[in-house]
Amino acid sequence: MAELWSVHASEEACDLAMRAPEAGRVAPDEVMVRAPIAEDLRRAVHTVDPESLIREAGEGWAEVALDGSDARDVFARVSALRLPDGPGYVQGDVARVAARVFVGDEAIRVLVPAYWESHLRRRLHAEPGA
Amino acid sequence: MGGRLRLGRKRVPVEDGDTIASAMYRAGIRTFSRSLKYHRRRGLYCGTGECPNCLVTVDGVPGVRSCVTPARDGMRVRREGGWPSVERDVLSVLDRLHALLPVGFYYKTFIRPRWIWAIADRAIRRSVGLGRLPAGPVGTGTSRHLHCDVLVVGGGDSGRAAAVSAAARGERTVLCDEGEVRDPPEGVEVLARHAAIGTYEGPMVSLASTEGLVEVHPERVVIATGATELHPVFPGNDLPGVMLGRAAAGLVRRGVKPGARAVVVVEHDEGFEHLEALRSAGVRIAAVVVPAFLESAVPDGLRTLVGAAVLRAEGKERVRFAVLRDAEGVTRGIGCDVFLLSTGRSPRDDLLRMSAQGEPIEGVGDAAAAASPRGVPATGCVCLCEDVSVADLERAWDEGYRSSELLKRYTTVTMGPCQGAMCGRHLAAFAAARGAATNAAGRTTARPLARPTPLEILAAPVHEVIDKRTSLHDLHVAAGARISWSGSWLRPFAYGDPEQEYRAVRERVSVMDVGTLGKFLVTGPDASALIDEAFPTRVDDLAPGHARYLLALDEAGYVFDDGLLCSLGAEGWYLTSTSGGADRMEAWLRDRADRRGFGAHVVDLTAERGAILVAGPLGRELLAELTDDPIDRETFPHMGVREVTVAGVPCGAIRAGFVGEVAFELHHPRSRGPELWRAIAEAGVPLGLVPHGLDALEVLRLEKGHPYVGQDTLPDDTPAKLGLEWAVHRGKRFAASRALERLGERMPERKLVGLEFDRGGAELRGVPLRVGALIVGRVTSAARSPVLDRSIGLGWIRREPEDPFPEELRADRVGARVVPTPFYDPAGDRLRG
Amino acid sequence: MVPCPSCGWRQSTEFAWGGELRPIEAADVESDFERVFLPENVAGAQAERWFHLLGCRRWITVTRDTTTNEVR
Repeated sequence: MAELWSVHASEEACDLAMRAPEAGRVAPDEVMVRAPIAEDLRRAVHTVDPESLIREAGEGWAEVALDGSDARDVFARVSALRLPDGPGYVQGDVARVAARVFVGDEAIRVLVPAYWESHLRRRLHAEPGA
Repeated sequence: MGGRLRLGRKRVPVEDGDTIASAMYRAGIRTFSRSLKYHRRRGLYCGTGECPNCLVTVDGVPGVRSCVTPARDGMRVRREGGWPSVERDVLSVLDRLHALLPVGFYYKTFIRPRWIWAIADRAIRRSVGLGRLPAGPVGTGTSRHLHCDVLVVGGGDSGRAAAVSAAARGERTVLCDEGEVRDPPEGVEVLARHAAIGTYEGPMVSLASTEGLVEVHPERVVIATGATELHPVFPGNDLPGVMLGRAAAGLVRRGVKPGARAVVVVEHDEGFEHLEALRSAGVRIAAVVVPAFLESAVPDGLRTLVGAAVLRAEGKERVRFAVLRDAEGVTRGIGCDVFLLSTGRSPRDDLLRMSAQGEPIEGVGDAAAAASPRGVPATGCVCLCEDVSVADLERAWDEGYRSSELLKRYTTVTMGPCQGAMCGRHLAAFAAARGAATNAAGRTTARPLARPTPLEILAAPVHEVIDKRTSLHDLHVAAGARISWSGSWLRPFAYGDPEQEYRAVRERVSVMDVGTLGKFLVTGPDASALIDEAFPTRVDDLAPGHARYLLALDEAGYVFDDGLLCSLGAEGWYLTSTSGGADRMEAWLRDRADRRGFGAHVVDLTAERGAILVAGPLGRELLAELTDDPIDRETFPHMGVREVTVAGVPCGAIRAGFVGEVAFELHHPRSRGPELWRAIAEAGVPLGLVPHGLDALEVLRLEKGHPYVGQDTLPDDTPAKLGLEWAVHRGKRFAASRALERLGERMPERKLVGLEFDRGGAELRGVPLRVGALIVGRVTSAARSPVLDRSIGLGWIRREPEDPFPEELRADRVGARVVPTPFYDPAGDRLRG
Repeated sequence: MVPCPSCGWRQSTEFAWGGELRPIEAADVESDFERVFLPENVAGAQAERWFHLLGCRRWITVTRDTTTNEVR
């Protein structure tokens, strides 16, 4: 998928990286950003942590978007994760695989390692309304 | 509503509001089933869905509780437990043979000689049970998760009140009930016909309906499941016509007269409501039995026996006499066809008891109240579901099973559909009265499931097994490959004849999808320190552009994986693991970095990168067509790592040696895999390229003597046991160095060795290796080598470390010998070409 | 339920269990044997390693009471 970035950096630098739009905190030392990262933010991250690594991650992930009025119901059929009421990020077990979920205004976007893409799509298509 | 049920050849009319049981009772049915073991007649008893007596098969689905299931026109109902029928049951003779078939008889009889058990087993299985299973699954269930603030289980008075007050406080509230919810409250999500079958950590409560499963994740849980009526124990307590108060009341509510003449035992207030119900239905009350403190509450004009004790119920097909001993000690038999017992309440507290300490789960109402007092059961049927009497418990106690848990396991008491709702407290009282210590005389542990649930419903959240696929999967399918499981991946095993594929590798050129390999980038200031500490491989002299065999050892010195380590210079390290070992490899790297405080980034590239192996003596010739980068032997030697653009796709290429020919592992961006594969396949046409799968790979790597971790290795294999000491760099400190130090120079007594067989191939895999009659090892891999025309394999052999390997071994009927490996090209010339 | 600092309390099925927390190394070869093969195995609270396989994929150390299964 296009426009997906992983930031591997110190906790402080990751806190800074969280200012990027559509950012998800994967771990104290890792942030995933589902949008381009502005040049000055990159520089700021590098300044706080010169050893930081910002790399394109799109090749490794597949995204399936759930939209429509029943998006949350469909999600609830494949995962026990509690989604935030508004926009936000959660990660955990979706359809029994490790997923990263970006909740937006229009859609719930489920990202899984690309080798699980066909599993996730098949699982979601088995649900009515998906 | 109206309509009719089909009950065998009978047509049973259905009226509005009927349950299946009330319709059957109105039509004159009194025997609803036969008991599990001894085929005793069973009639309507509890009326609230607890006991097994009214279980019938409806439309092919067994285990339906007819007393709580609404009747519908056209239902096909069958009563279970009797042969040839419930009314005329030949196997009721078992009840008379009770003495010969005591509790636990199947542990002691029909077991010698051993062949008798096979016959007895079949016969016993045919004669017991609560119904016949349908031929196949009855539909599949749906499943979903539900988040809320409060879950209230039970829609009766206490439950409704709890739900209403929670909703009023602004809590998102869900109310569930296994039946209908009268007067569903506003502002509350109501799930009727959803039974709570278990409480789990979280808290999480699982609800089962006929459609499927709902896993509820509330912040707190209120259990308002109420109480069942007490189940009194006395001889004849399971005769049709003997019933609990609520069962009779339920019949009356549906316009069914329970009988003509009733003896009524009332020991708590609720009993008077049921007495009134009988009277209103026109049943003649032959006698009312009450304790002294309730005498004044008995309506006028009824014969009352104050302080009388119930001795037994007598009758053959149904109750005819209630036998009591009055306060003066006189025994009286009073004729009746309904013997109604309303002697107290037993809280339905399973869901409360199965939840862990500290979980926010509380009980309200009858579910949390104290149980009504009861005596110690003396004689009679204790467990209706499993057909266990007090005599059975006594016998088990005499045989030495002296706690409620042991009595349960030996007699199966409480293990039926009611899960101890009727009999659990009796069991505890029995054990306590016999003198079991306090911790051995409690109620048995409550566990999910609280209600019998069909497997289709429990399996609702389970879907097809999860498969990982590379980006080349569709190409393999289109090429007609036989695709199957390899660990958690779907991989091509062969595209046609595996031997032809094998020959392509040895003689020409072939290509294989190895994108399943675990791949990791380790970078950052302490990257080298991490690799050095985590692995036995020598790291300090591995220059950029070079790869080395990587052995992975845990802290005990045991081999848990292998792969390749590539130096990327300033950019860090690139490692590969086996396809099945990626998770463990990542966890290992992160653990070492964490425990040692290394500043390093571990990036999992397993999904991000595909990998295509080009192997064979013509491999370089093929790639030369597709790249301008130098790939000649001098510029790109064996075990080298180079950036090479192939068919326009940027690749990290590694020259590795698993199959024993010149080979290039092309690691590329996942999305560009198909175009790379197609380009290579096209360029390979004039060279006779054929792709190869896992079947061919098995033989290719075996000819080189390469062990597969997990297939040829055992969990406690050290480098020495595998002949991989060369992969360990002595003189450095790393995770496993102390363990290897302790093992020292000692020769291991078990070793993986190369084998040659007189004949045979893959079928020898797994066969024990013997010297004479003694088993000394096992064949872990075997194949017929086409190019060598020999039968070869790997296996482990145990012997005294000082002794040489045995000369003559046998694998089943085939002779075998220990031989050195590699079998093919021992000098490795073809590899280094 | 296991408390992951990055992801919150999650069901244990999201994790792989890493065993009792042991010292990172031992002074000599004999005590290393004990370190690796003879954990304390207490009936009570013990420190344990868990790997959040289906979540952040990081290691955490929690305290679990082996008699009540309570996790902190």
